[in-house]
Amino acid sequence: MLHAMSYVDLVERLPHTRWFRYASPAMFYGLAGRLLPWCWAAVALFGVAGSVVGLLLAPTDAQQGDAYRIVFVHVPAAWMSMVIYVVMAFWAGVGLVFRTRLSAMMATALAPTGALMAFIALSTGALWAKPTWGVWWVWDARLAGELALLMLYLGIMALQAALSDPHRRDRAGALLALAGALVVPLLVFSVQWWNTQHQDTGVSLMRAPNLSGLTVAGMLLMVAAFWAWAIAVALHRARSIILEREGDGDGIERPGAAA
Amino acid sequence: MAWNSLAEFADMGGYALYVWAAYFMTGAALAWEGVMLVQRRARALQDLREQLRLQRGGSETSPHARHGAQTRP
Repeated sequence: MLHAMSYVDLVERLPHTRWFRYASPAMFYGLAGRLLPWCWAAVALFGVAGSVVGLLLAPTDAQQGDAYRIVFVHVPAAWMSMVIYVVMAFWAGVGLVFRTRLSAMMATALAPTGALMAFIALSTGALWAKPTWGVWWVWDARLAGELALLMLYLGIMALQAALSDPHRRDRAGALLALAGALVVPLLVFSVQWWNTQHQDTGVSLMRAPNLSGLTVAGMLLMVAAFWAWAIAVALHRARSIILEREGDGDGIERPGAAA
Repeated sequence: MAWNSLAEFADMGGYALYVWAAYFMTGAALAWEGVMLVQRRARALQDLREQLRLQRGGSETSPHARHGAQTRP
Protein backbone atom coordinates (compact mmCIF):
# COMPACT_ATOMS: atom_id res chain seq x y z
CA MET A 1 0.00 0.00 0.00
CA LEU A 2 2.60 2.43 1.13
CA HIS A 3 4.97 1.26 -1.54
CA ALA A 4 2.42 1.82 -4.24
CA MET A 5 2.08 5.46 -3.31
CA SER A 6 4.49 7.95 -4.69
CA TYR A 7 6.42 10.04 -2.25
CA VAL A 8 4.53 13.12 -3.30
CA ASP A 9 1.22 11.42 -2.41
CA LEU A 10 2.66 10.30 0.89
CA VAL A 11 3.93 13.73 1.78
CA GLU A 12 0.59 15.33 0.95
CA ARG A 13 -1.26 12.95 3.27
CA LEU A 14 0.97 13.44 6.28
CA PRO A 15 -0.12 16.02 8.83
CA HIS A 16 3.35 17.37 9.50
CA THR A 17 4.12 17.87 5.87
CA ARG A 18 6.86 20.36 6.47
CA TRP A 19 9.19 17.92 8.20
CA PHE A 20 8.32 14.65 6.54
CA ARG A 21 8.91 16.31 3.23
CA TYR A 22 12.64 16.12 3.93
CA ALA A 23 12.48 12.33 4.15
CA SER A 24 12.32 12.45 0.36
CA PRO A 25 15.86 12.38 -1.05
CA ALA A 26 15.05 15.13 -3.54
CA MET A 27 13.88 17.47 -0.78
CA PHE A 28 16.72 16.50 1.49
CA TYR A 29 19.21 17.22 -1.28
CA GLY A 30 18.15 20.84 -1.40
CA LEU A 31 17.95 21.27 2.36
CA ALA A 32 21.40 19.76 2.90
CA GLY A 33 22.79 22.01 0.19
CA ARG A 34 21.49 25.06 2.02
CA LEU A 35 22.86 23.86 5.37
CA LEU A 36 26.34 22.99 4.11
CA PRO A 37 27.90 26.49 3.97
CA TRP A 38 26.90 27.05 7.61
CA CYS A 39 28.43 23.72 8.63
CA TRP A 40 31.73 24.50 6.90
CA ALA A 41 31.76 27.96 8.48
CA ALA A 42 31.28 26.34 11.90
CA VAL A 43 34.15 23.91 11.19
CA ALA A 44 36.48 26.80 10.35
CA LEU A 45 35.36 28.99 13.24
CA PHE A 46 35.46 26.35 15.98
CA GLY A 47 38.54 24.63 14.54
CA VAL A 48 40.64 27.78 14.47
CA ALA A 49 39.39 28.97 17.86
CA GLY A 50 39.93 25.54 19.44
CA SER A 51 43.44 25.22 18.02
CA VAL A 52 44.40 28.71 19.22
CA VAL A 53 43.04 28.07 22.72
CA GLY A 54 44.45 24.52 22.92
CA LEU A 55 47.89 25.12 21.47
CA LEU A 56 48.58 28.74 22.40
CA LEU A 57 46.53 29.82 25.41
CA ALA A 58 45.87 26.76 27.59
CA PRO A 59 48.50 26.31 30.29
CA THR A 60 50.97 23.41 30.37
CA ASP A 61 49.72 20.40 32.35
CA ALA A 62 51.44 19.89 35.69
CA GLN A 63 51.88 16.13 35.25
CA GLN A 64 52.07 15.50 31.53
CA GLY A 65 53.75 18.67 30.37
CA ASP A 66 52.78 19.73 26.86
CA ALA A 67 52.20 16.18 25.64
CA TYR A 68 48.65 16.57 27.01
CA ARG A 69 47.85 19.01 24.19
CA ILE A 70 47.14 15.96 22.03
CA VAL A 71 43.90 15.74 24.02
CA PHE A 72 42.38 18.53 21.90
CA VAL A 73 42.29 16.31 18.82
CA HIS A 74 42.30 12.86 20.44
CA VAL A 75 39.20 13.14 22.63
CA PRO A 76 36.91 14.87 20.08
CA ALA A 77 37.85 12.25 17.46
CA ALA A 78 37.26 9.39 19.90
CA TRP A 79 33.89 10.79 20.94
CA MET A 80 32.82 11.37 17.34
CA SER A 81 33.84 7.82 16.38
CA MET A 82 31.29 6.57 18.95
CA VAL A 83 28.59 9.19 18.31
CA ILE A 84 28.74 8.58 14.55
CA TYR A 85 28.41 4.84 15.13
CA VAL A 86 25.26 5.32 17.23
CA VAL A 87 23.74 7.68 14.65
CA MET A 88 24.72 5.34 11.81
CA ALA A 89 23.21 2.32 13.57
CA PHE A 90 20.05 4.36 14.25
CA TRP A 91 19.57 5.30 10.59
CA ALA A 92 20.47 1.76 9.54
CA GLY A 93 17.76 0.43 11.87
CA VAL A 94 15.19 2.96 10.64
CA GLY A 95 16.04 2.06 7.05
CA LEU A 96 15.74 -1.62 7.80
CA VAL A 97 12.35 -1.33 9.50
CA PHE A 98 10.64 1.41 7.47
CA ARG A 99 12.54 0.90 4.22
CA THR A 100 13.00 4.61 3.78
CA ARG A 101 15.58 5.31 1.12
CA LEU A 102 17.11 8.32 2.79
CA SER A 103 17.79 6.53 6.09
CA ALA A 104 19.94 3.90 4.43
CA MET A 105 21.75 6.60 2.48
CA MET A 106 22.51 8.51 5.69
CA ALA A 107 23.88 5.35 7.32
CA THR A 108 26.07 4.72 4.29
CA ALA A 109 27.23 8.34 4.27
CA LEU A 110 28.33 8.19 7.91
CA ALA A 111 30.50 5.06 7.82
CA PRO A 112 33.65 6.51 6.16
CA THR A 113 33.68 9.50 8.53
CA GLY A 114 33.28 7.20 11.53
CA ALA A 115 36.19 5.10 10.30
CA LEU A 116 38.29 8.23 9.87
CA MET A 117 37.46 9.41 13.40
CA ALA A 118 38.40 6.02 14.85
CA PHE A 119 41.65 6.14 12.89
CA ILE A 120 42.45 9.63 14.21
CA ALA A 121 41.61 8.55 17.77
CA LEU A 122 43.90 5.52 17.51
CA SER A 123 46.83 7.24 15.83
CA THR A 124 46.82 10.33 18.06
CA GLY A 125 46.30 8.00 21.03
CA ALA A 126 49.45 6.08 20.11
CA LEU A 127 51.36 9.36 19.78
CA TRP A 128 50.13 10.32 23.25
CA ALA A 129 50.73 6.90 24.82
CA LYS A 130 54.39 6.73 23.80
CA PRO A 131 55.61 9.73 25.85
CA THR A 132 53.22 9.17 28.78
CA TRP A 133 52.94 5.36 29.13
CA GLY A 134 56.22 4.54 27.39
CA VAL A 135 54.56 2.33 24.77
CA TRP A 136 52.65 3.01 21.55
CA TRP A 137 49.93 0.50 22.33
CA VAL A 138 48.58 -1.63 25.15
CA TRP A 139 45.91 -4.28 24.86
CA ASP A 140 43.33 -2.89 27.22
CA ALA A 141 39.56 -2.76 26.91
CA ARG A 142 39.26 0.80 25.67
CA LEU A 143 42.02 0.62 23.08
CA ALA A 144 40.87 -2.78 21.84
CA GLY A 145 37.28 -1.48 21.71
CA GLU A 146 38.31 1.50 19.58
CA LEU A 147 40.20 -0.84 17.27
CA ALA A 148 37.12 -3.06 17.05
CA LEU A 149 35.07 0.03 16.15
CA LEU A 150 37.47 0.89 13.31
CA MET A 151 37.26 -2.71 12.06
CA LEU A 152 33.45 -2.55 12.17
CA TYR A 153 33.37 0.64 10.11
CA LEU A 154 35.77 -0.86 7.58
CA GLY A 155 33.80 -4.12 7.56
CA ILE A 156 30.53 -2.30 6.86
CA MET A 157 32.16 -0.31 4.05
CA ALA A 158 33.75 -3.42 2.54
CA LEU A 159 30.48 -5.36 2.75
CA GLN A 160 28.59 -2.57 1.02
CA ALA A 161 31.26 -2.22 -1.63
CA ALA A 162 31.08 -5.95 -2.35
CA LEU A 163 27.34 -5.93 -3.07
CA SER A 164 26.01 -4.34 -6.24
CA ASP A 165 22.27 -4.32 -5.56
CA PRO A 166 21.45 -1.21 -3.46
CA HIS A 167 18.72 -3.01 -1.48
CA ARG A 168 20.92 -5.91 -0.46
CA ARG A 169 23.77 -3.51 0.19
CA ASP A 170 21.66 -1.41 2.56
CA ARG A 171 20.23 -4.43 4.38
CA ALA A 172 23.56 -6.19 4.85
CA GLY A 173 25.26 -3.01 6.00
CA ALA A 174 22.41 -2.24 8.40
CA LEU A 175 22.47 -5.72 9.96
CA LEU A 176 26.22 -5.56 10.55
CA ALA A 177 25.93 -2.01 11.91
CA LEU A 178 23.23 -3.05 14.39
CA ALA A 179 25.08 -6.19 15.49
CA GLY A 180 28.24 -4.17 16.04
CA ALA A 181 26.42 -1.54 18.09
CA LEU A 182 27.22 -3.62 21.17
CA VAL A 183 30.81 -2.38 20.96
CA VAL A 184 29.86 1.21 21.78
CA PRO A 185 28.58 0.70 25.37
CA LEU A 186 31.56 -1.59 25.92
CA LEU A 187 33.82 1.27 24.87
CA VAL A 188 32.06 3.91 26.94
CA PHE A 189 31.99 1.89 30.15
CA SER A 190 35.24 -0.02 29.67
CA VAL A 191 37.07 2.30 32.03
CA GLN A 192 34.60 1.59 34.82
CA TRP A 193 34.13 -2.12 34.17
CA TRP A 194 37.77 -3.07 33.85
CA ASN A 195 40.93 -1.77 35.35
CA THR A 196 42.45 -0.19 32.30
CA GLN A 197 45.51 1.79 31.52
CA HIS A 198 43.39 4.34 29.73
CA GLN A 199 42.17 7.13 31.99
CA ASP A 200 38.54 8.00 32.38
CA THR A 201 38.08 10.95 30.08
CA GLY A 202 35.14 12.39 31.94
CA VAL A 203 36.80 12.39 35.33
CA SER A 204 40.29 13.37 34.28
CA LEU A 205 39.16 16.17 32.05
CA MET A 206 35.89 17.66 33.11
CA ARG A 207 35.89 17.20 36.85
CA ALA A 208 39.54 17.80 37.69
CA PRO A 209 39.46 20.51 40.36
CA ASN A 210 42.64 22.26 39.25
CA LEU A 211 41.87 22.17 35.55
CA SER A 212 42.26 25.46 33.74
CA GLY A 213 39.12 27.00 32.28
CA LEU A 214 41.09 27.54 29.08
CA THR A 215 41.77 23.81 28.77
CA VAL A 216 38.07 23.04 29.11
CA ALA A 217 37.22 25.82 26.65
CA GLY A 218 39.72 24.42 24.14
CA MET A 219 38.19 20.97 24.50
CA LEU A 220 34.64 22.23 24.01
CA LEU A 221 35.61 24.28 20.95
CA MET A 222 37.37 21.31 19.37
CA VAL A 223 34.43 19.01 20.13
CA ALA A 224 32.16 21.57 18.41
CA ALA A 225 34.53 21.69 15.41
CA PHE A 226 34.54 17.89 15.08
CA TRP A 227 30.73 17.76 15.37
CA ALA A 228 30.43 20.38 12.63
CA TRP A 229 32.92 18.46 10.48
CA ALA A 230 31.02 15.19 10.88
CA ILE A 231 27.69 16.86 10.02
CA ALA A 232 29.11 18.74 7.03
CA VAL A 233 30.87 15.70 5.63
CA ALA A 234 27.87 13.40 6.15
CA LEU A 235 25.52 15.87 4.43
CA HIS A 236 27.95 16.34 1.55
CA ARG A 237 28.47 12.60 1.09
CA ALA A 238 24.73 11.92 1.38
CA ARG A 239 24.17 14.39 -1.46
CA SER A 240 26.68 12.51 -3.60
CA ILE A 241 24.98 9.21 -2.77
CA ILE A 242 21.60 10.69 -3.79
CA LEU A 243 23.13 11.76 -7.11
CA GLU A 244 24.63 8.32 -7.62
CA ARG A 245 21.45 6.43 -6.85
CA GLU A 246 18.68 8.62 -8.18
CA GLY A 247 20.20 11.76 -9.59
CA ASP A 248 18.56 11.12 -12.94
CA GLY A 249 15.07 11.22 -11.49
CA ASP A 250 12.90 13.90 -9.94
CA GLY A 251 15.07 16.69 -11.31
CA ILE A 252 17.33 16.63 -8.26
CA GLU A 253 20.26 18.08 -10.06
CA ARG A 254 20.57 18.91 -13.69
CA PRO A 255 24.12 18.18 -14.74
CA GLY A 256 25.91 21.37 -15.47
CA ALA A 257 24.43 23.09 -12.47
CA ALA A 258 26.91 24.68 -10.12
CA ALA A 259 28.60 22.25 -7.76
CA MET B 1 49.55 32.74 26.34
CA ALA B 2 51.44 29.65 27.48
CA TRP B 3 54.62 30.50 25.55
CA ASN B 4 57.38 33.11 25.73
CA SER B 5 58.83 32.59 22.27
CA LEU B 6 58.13 30.94 18.94
CA ALA B 7 60.96 28.45 19.55
CA GLU B 8 59.40 27.45 22.87
CA PHE B 9 56.04 26.97 21.14
CA ALA B 10 57.61 24.84 18.42
CA ASP B 11 59.42 22.71 20.99
CA MET B 12 56.19 21.91 22.89
CA GLY B 13 58.04 21.40 26.15
CA GLY B 14 60.17 18.68 24.58
CA TYR B 15 57.19 16.79 23.16
CA ALA B 16 57.30 18.48 19.75
CA LEU B 17 57.53 15.20 17.81
CA TYR B 18 54.44 13.68 19.42
CA VAL B 19 52.25 16.78 19.60
CA TRP B 20 52.94 18.00 16.07
CA ALA B 21 52.70 14.49 14.65
CA ALA B 22 49.27 14.11 16.28
CA TYR B 23 48.04 17.42 14.84
CA PHE B 24 49.55 16.62 11.45
CA MET B 25 47.85 13.20 11.40
CA THR B 26 44.52 14.78 12.23
CA GLY B 27 44.87 17.53 9.64
CA ALA B 28 46.07 15.14 6.95
CA ALA B 29 43.26 12.66 7.63
CA LEU B 30 40.59 15.36 7.45
CA ALA B 31 42.14 16.91 4.32
CA TRP B 32 42.17 13.48 2.67
CA GLU B 33 38.50 13.00 3.46
CA GLY B 34 37.79 16.44 1.99
CA VAL B 35 39.52 15.51 -1.26
CA MET B 36 37.59 12.20 -1.41
CA LEU B 37 34.31 14.09 -0.92
CA VAL B 38 34.98 16.54 -3.73
CA GLN B 39 36.07 13.73 -6.06
CA ARG B 40 33.00 11.64 -5.30
CA ARG B 41 30.65 14.51 -6.08
CA ALA B 42 32.52 15.35 -9.27
CA ARG B 43 32.32 11.69 -10.34
CA ALA B 44 28.59 11.51 -9.60
CA LEU B 45 27.91 14.66 -11.63
CA GLN B 46 30.10 13.36 -14.44
CA ASP B 47 28.13 10.10 -14.55
CA LEU B 48 24.87 12.04 -14.67
CA ARG B 49 26.16 14.17 -17.51
CA GLU B 50 27.13 10.99 -19.33
CA GLN B 51 23.66 9.48 -18.84
CA LEU B 52 22.00 12.63 -20.06
CA ARG B 53 24.19 12.72 -23.14
CA LEU B 54 23.33 9.09 -23.93
CA GLN B 55 19.62 9.79 -23.50
CA ARG B 56 19.77 12.77 -25.82
CA GLY B 57 21.94 10.92 -28.29
CA GLY B 58 19.05 9.66 -30.38
CA SER B 59 18.02 6.49 -28.55
CA GLU B 60 14.32 5.76 -28.79
CA THR B 61 13.86 5.26 -25.07
CA SER B 62 12.29 8.16 -23.28
CA PRO B 63 14.22 9.75 -20.43
CA HIS B 64 11.95 8.00 -17.95
CA ALA B 65 11.85 4.56 -19.51
CA ARG B 66 14.94 3.37 -17.68
CA HIS B 67 13.44 4.09 -14.31
CA GLY B 68 11.45 0.91 -14.35
CA ALA B 69 14.62 -1.07 -13.79
CA GLN B 70 15.87 1.19 -11.06
CA THR B 71 15.40 0.20 -7.47
CA ARG B 72 13.10 2.38 -5.55
CA PRO B 73 10.41 1.49 -3.07
